[in-house]
Amino acid sequence: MRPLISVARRPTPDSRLVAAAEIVRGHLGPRLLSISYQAGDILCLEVDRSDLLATATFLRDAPELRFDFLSCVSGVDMVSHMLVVYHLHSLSNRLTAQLKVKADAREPVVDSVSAIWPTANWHEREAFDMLGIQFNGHPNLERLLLVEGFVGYPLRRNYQLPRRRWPHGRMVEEGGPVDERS
Amino acid sequence: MTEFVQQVLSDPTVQRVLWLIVTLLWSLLFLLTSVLILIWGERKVLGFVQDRYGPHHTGKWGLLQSPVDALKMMTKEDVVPLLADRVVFWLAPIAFFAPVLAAFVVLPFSDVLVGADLNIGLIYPLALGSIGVVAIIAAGWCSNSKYSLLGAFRSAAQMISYEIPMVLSLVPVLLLSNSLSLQSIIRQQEGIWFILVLPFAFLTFFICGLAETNRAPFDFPETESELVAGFMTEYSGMRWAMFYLGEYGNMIVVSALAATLFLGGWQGPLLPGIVWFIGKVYVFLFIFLWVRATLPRVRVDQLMDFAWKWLIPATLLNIAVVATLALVFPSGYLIPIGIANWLLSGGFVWSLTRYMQGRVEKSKRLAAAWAPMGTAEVPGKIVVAAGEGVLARRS
Amino acid sequence: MSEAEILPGQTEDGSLPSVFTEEFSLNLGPQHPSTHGVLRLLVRLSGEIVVDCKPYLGYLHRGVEKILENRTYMQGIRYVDQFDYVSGMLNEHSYVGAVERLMQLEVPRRAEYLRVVVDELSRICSHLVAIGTALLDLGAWTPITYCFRDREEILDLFEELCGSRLNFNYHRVGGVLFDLPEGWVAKCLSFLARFERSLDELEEFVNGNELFIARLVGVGVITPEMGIAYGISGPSIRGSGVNFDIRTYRPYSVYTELGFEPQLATAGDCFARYLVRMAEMRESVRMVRRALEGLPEGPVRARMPHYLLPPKGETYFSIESSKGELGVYLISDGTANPYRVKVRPPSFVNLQILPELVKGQKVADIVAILGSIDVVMGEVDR
Repeated sequence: MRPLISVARRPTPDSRLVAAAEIVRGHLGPRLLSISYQAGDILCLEVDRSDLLATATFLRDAPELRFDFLSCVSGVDMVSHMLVVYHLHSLSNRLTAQLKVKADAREPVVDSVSAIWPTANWHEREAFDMLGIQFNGHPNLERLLLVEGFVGYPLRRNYQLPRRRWPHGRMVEEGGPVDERS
Repeated sequence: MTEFVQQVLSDPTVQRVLWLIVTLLWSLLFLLTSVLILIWGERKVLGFVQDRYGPHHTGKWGLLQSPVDALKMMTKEDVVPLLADRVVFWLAPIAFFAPVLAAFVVLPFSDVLVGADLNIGLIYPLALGSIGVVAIIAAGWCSNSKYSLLGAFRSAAQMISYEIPMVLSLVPVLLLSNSLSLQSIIRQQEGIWFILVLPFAFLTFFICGLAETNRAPFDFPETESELVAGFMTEYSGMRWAMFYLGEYGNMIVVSALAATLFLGGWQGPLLPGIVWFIGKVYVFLFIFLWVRATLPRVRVDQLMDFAWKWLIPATLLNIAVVATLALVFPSGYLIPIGIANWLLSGGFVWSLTRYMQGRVEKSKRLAAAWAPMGTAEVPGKIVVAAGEGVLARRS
Repeated sequence: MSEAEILPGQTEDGSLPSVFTEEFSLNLGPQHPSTHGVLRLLVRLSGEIVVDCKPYLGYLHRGVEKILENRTYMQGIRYVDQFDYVSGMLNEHSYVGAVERLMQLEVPRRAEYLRVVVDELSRICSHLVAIGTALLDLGAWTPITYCFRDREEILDLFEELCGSRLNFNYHRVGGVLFDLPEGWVAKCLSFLARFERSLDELEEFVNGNELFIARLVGVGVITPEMGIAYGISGPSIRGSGVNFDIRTYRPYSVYTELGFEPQLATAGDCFARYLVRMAEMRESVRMVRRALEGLPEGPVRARMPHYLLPPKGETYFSIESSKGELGVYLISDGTANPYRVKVRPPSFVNLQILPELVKGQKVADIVAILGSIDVVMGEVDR
């Protein structure tokens, strides 16, 4: 029997989003590493680490864009590199954008945007806490959720939870990284 | 042998000592029984106001709750914090409870049943109330804990601030009764109870009584949600029970004073005086509990504000008005004083409400400086533009 | 200058003024009757005025994001329930909504309507807890029992619907788990009628009470600029006049069909946030009524394979939770487990503004402001 899943075709992005994309493309030029539309309503951008602060300031201040609401800063461990993903809302223009920045896998360092959007303060602390991403210029980069003195970054893919019998019969007592990428 | 006993008993000193012991016994009896009833009553009244039962498993209607609580207090381990000042720690609950018990000696339970009808009867319990402040500060200090200290300071500030309007609010009663002795004040009320003539004095006295006994809405020193238990934080078991006894005892003393000064004390038809007295005291105790169930807490600076900027001028005004009217109408001053007092009560409540509304107006003016931001194309319904309809009651 | 210890307030020539004051630190929590969970606030006080306030989080951290990476999508739903435990349905909706957005899956219309019904009932539950506990912190012992009495009725409805009062596990990818049992709609509608009268009673108790006004009006004012800079969402920012509600900003489910309207207030203080929550409860009642009256026929769950394998990709989906924007950033690598689930909890972001708001206020205002921002530590710590 045919399943009841109906998968809609990828919706086309609406005109305001396309116009915003043009403005971004025009300003950033070759510094914009990639641009796409996620499910038709989020503008996805990727820039290099060094352009992060300039791009962020532009996104916040450009009058047609005015992305003044930083919704979320996520850190992701994609084994070969680290990702920092910013989700932004523009309340006056009703747009949503996603900004991605790649960082080094072993020692990820990214500029802090807490001077641009004060709400980034705790988001970045959490990313540091869980994934070990250093944010340059952050007012107080300390552990937020985990206890002070905790060693290791749990959300990294190579972090093993303690006291589990992992595959191949290996019993791990303490949690910690299993390869040299600490 | 009997001659010897008779001779001893006729000695006035011995008689006085015996009467003192009798007074002490009945005071303790009344106090402890009332506290037991109050513990149960508070939980039941609060429960019923909050749409729940209150204690109802321990005995029928939860009546055994009080004895069980008392038993628990007595069997608890006596914990003294390590760094606490042991002597003061031991003394503070006693110093808190002793003045309460001492105040019972002037309370007139009936026309003969009064411990000592002092000719300064009205000043005596009020003066004893001041000793309680010292005990609270001592308790807060010697516990060696920040919470206790903060609670003690707040309590002391509150009690000192509210003693003044309390005394001032009783001056009109004094003007009407021409005597400080409590029995003679009661006798003066044979024609009309003072609450009908001096409602504003009663209102201010009751509010100050709430503040003096650290009861809601003035229970800031023991705010559970901020300072755990204020100055009583480090006390447990029987020591804490002494504080508790002292607090309820204070409530009883204030209620008894209110009953004596404003409701005619033990006067009343048919039933014996003592029944009327105890009944009136319990009416006021019930009002204490009712107010606790209903009203939230005042912030400490608003509390001081209220005492110094509202109650003291109001009570002074009351004194001036009553005294003037008593001079102007030397013979029939009761009715003009009554009218003036009722007007004062209404005026006080009205101006307090206007002041509160003023705060809302101020916040409305501040908010008018902002324009609503956000997605312009989606209209959002403005619920309340900072103050409209805030004080309106639903019909 | 002598080498003797300089006491605070001591002037250079060694003399002491007759009165000097010292700041001291007070620890509020983590065990505390009014920190709404396990939150520790280290407060520096100068007398009654707060000089600085530093929150310490993480007492309820359970590592749910890591757990979710090791569970299938359906297994993960029950963990998401435990974020904002006073309104479980909304958390589930955000998670399954993210998966559905990634798969570009169309949910049956009956399921969308049922989702709106349970979401709005959950929102009412959450606001009742928020208002009740906020008022309890101010010293009013009674409103909380009235709020919880009404909440009990909603939880009874939920128990009939999905068997559980707190961790519902009701939303599924592609719809909801059960259809409505017999007579549920009638019970729900009669509850709504009773509830509107309860709301009137609560309003009468609180709105005109001068003591509440004295405690709440003008306290903890969040200006719109400050709110947006700090990423505040939900009733906390709608109380400042900013029209930001995900149900109209980036509409999901069937809210536009049901004619949803965001509720705003303009004062930005604690009282305005309370008013917004009361108005939102009334709006939720309206939404539930409209959804139940217009409930379409059909299946309640899209049929799909047992092992859900969404395509590789990423998505960000957010809903309007009772506290604000609850966002889920989901990365899938094509396997049965998600690769990364990052949850954007509204309480976590809203809590960040607390130190700014309490500076210069009195100690008593800390609990009033914390109560009005409405923080649930399960969401903050995850």
